Amino acid sequence: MMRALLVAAALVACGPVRNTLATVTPTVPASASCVDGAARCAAGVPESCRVYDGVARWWPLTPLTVDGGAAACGEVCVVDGTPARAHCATADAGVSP
Amino acid sequence: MTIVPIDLARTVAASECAAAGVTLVTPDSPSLLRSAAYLSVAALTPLTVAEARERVSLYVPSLVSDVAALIAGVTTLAPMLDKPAVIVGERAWSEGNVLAGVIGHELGHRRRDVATRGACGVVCSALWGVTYLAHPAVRLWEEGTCMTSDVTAAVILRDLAPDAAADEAQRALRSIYSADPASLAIGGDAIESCAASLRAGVLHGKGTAIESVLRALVARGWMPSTRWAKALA
Repeated sequence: MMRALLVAAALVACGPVRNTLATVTPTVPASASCVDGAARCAAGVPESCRVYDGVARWWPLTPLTVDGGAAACGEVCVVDGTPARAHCATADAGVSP
Repeated sequence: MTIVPIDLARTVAASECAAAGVTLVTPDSPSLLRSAAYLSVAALTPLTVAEARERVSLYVPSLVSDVAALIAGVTTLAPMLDKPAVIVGERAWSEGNVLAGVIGHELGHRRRDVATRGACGVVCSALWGVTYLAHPAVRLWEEGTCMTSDVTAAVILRDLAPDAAADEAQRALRSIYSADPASLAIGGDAIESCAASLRAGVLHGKGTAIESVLRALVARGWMPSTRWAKALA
């Protein structure tokens, strides 16, 4: 039993195994083609691209709504600043692509 | 802006937790579940048990209730684990302006739990639990997005500048979760994005748990500052 637990612990500490776990877990963002540190708005949700264990994902940056999706901005989502950052803003701030 | 009276914050905490279907476990609640939870926190983080009791609030997911129902040896815990729980730390329970953010944070985890459970039942709950523990990037992403509640509360309820609130959250993220820089960057992105939203004068997303908490405070008579009154009307 202890040996099985140790083997399981070693496996989940391994990058490819934990990436497989992440891939099959609902609500974890899918892998994507993006550059580490990039920012975007997706359906009004601010996101950042981060690469971990060699896998890039667009990570939503807002908490969830009661429906289980990442909360979209109430007015608009914009990308600005240096480094570029996606965030919510008032409607007169304009809409980023 | 007015200070949030502790009694008002506790009332809202109780009503929001009840609406979300979770048990609210306070520092003066029966201690067995809290003790077990804080021993786990001390085992998984650099914090001592005493530090965890003081500083840490946490969400006990529905998967734990499932397991408790199956294991006869934890029958003493079972009455407290008949449904998911939010365990509130001592500091948060004593400061109304902090408690609101903490409840928003923990109910953010509750929403993830419900969404994951809804995808494929207990199997997905278990998958999420293992992935959260095994994958630092997923763990820090989840914590970073939920910490945006603490940042929002710090700005709107404690009148901190967004940058100062973000710095406070980043320090908390680093001190509670022993994580590598790449994982911390993912959690940090959510915090900095939230600070940018608040600098722009808007909430960080519509329909979040912290928005619900803030609206509940307003509905019970708390007066936000002029800057935030419109957003919370």
